Amino acid sequence: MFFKIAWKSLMNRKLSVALTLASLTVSIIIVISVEHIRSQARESFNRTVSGVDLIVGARTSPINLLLYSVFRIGNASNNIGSESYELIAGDPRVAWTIPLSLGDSHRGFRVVGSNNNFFEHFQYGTQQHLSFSQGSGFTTAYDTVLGAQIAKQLQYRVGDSITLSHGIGEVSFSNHESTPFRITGILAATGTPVDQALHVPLEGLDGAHGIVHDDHHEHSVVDEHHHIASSEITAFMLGLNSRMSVFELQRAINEYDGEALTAILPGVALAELWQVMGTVENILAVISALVMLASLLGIATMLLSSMRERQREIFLFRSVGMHSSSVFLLIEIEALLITAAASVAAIALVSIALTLSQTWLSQEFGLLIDTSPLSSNIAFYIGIIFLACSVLSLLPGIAAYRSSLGTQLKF
Amino acid sequence: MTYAIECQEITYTWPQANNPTLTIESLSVEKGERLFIHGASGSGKSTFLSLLAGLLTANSGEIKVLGNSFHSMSDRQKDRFRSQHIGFVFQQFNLIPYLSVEDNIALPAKISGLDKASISTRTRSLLDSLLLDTKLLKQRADQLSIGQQQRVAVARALINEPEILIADEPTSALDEEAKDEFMGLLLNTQQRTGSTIIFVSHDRELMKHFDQHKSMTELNAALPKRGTNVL
Repeated sequence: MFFKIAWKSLMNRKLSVALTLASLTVSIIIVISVEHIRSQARESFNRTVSGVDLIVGARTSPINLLLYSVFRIGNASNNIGSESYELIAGDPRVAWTIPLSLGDSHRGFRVVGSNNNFFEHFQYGTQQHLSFSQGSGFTTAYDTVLGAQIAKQLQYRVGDSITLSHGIGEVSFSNHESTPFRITGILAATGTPVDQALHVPLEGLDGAHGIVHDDHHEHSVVDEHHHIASSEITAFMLGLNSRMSVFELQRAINEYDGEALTAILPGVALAELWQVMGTVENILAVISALVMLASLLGIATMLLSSMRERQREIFLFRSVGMHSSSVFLLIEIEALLITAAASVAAIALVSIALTLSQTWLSQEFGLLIDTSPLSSNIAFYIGIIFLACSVLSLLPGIAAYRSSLGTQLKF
Repeated sequence: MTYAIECQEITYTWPQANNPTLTIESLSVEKGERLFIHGASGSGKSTFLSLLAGLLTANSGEIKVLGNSFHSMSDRQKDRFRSQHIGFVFQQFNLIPYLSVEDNIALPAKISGLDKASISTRTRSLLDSLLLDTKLLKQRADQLSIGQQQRVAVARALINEPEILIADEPTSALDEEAKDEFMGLLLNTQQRTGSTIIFVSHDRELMKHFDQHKSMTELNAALPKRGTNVL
């Protein structure tokens, strides 16, 4: 009976109820979206690298090393000498290494000098290996493998030739035009910075920089295992035979006398970096809380202002024997009906929007998102909203209770 | 126990008021009686009816309704008692505007827990006796004419077959013709159900329909006596 009365009473005030519902829906959409973006950002952030035990670079802060080696943000202050690299790569505890040489670009995209180990050992997400959507890895020194997004944005295909620029600006005055690279492979989208990078063999990069290798045009990468590039690299990632030795090796590298080096555990550095981003996260949370508060106050205002015109109604309910606590309950049910409707509408709208934009986001921005905004966090927020809503509607509820208690029969 | 209402030495003073609004030395209404109380506005009749309904509690004295004293009841018990034993018809705006006629009539019955079948039978018999078309049942209450609304209000007041019906100026919004028709229907229906009726109005014209007449000026000792009016 209460639901029926509450429902009809709401229907009787369609316009103000619709406006309140719309404002609450928008607020819940904001709360859900912010939370979804936050959790997706965190997830996509944490999926940038996996399966790598240590990242080694010249002495710098762990976050800086992570930023330039994984996120390709900023620059290394120093390179690593080849002796140090060879020494560590040759350590019996080390299973594989991925050398990284950074600093060149192609039309604004970063160029990463490496070798085929990159495609073999680099992992992202939940231990997923890179895969080729077209072509394959390096076979000669002047081959290049593109990330998914570059290929899409610049409309390159396997077999095209490109030239690199020195430095990382979009326009460079020093182009390595004498040494074109041929595209041999395009990687499948990963939703990580790999999508935005051009990968070339270290020898090719050296060649482009004028470091002469003998007969580099025929130089095969397969041979390269026997004769590691003599040039310097910016950083390298390594995998161990046994993860047990990770701290031991990290300490050994950090304390290495031959050169000032830093070795980081990617997971630890990612967590540290995320903490830095935590401020942004908090700001988002505060903004959505304020939006939420505003619209909850809106509900309370709506109910409260309707109380004046409903005094007669409340009095009638009381005169036919409805207890004042039932009148109170009626107001609460109305508020909760609005909240429930707004929550359902908001979740539905966000899901629809995510589903519709999923393909576009992954194609245009390489963003891989989860289309369902439902998570335990969202459930928690919705719970909070319901709680806040029932608490705030206590105000008009109490007003209703008071007015009906003090009422005499008005004639 | 033949009295519907007994009042002994009751006084009521509104909070923050210096003098009592209502003082009634003694009043008793027999069961089945039709009592007309004449009173202008400001004569304390609203206060009196609120006391009878248990919405206000007298500062002193005792009111017994059907032999029960509100003094010993909790708020919830009062609400329950009211819905089962007292029906109200007010001057105007008796109905919840957004509910259908049917839902309005059924409201007190649902609150007191009457089963659906009985609600439906009683509703039909009340509509019949008040000359209301059953087609009106599904209409929203605010779509009815004032005359129809007042009759629906009587149906609602009587759905729980209360022993007491309190009507306060129920005809003041009606024109002369509708007034007579309403009075006829009200008293006929009352006769059928056998409830005690307490009818309050400033309109002496209506007095003719009742066997007992009282005036607030006689009843309420707190009112300034005629001739000593300060104004």
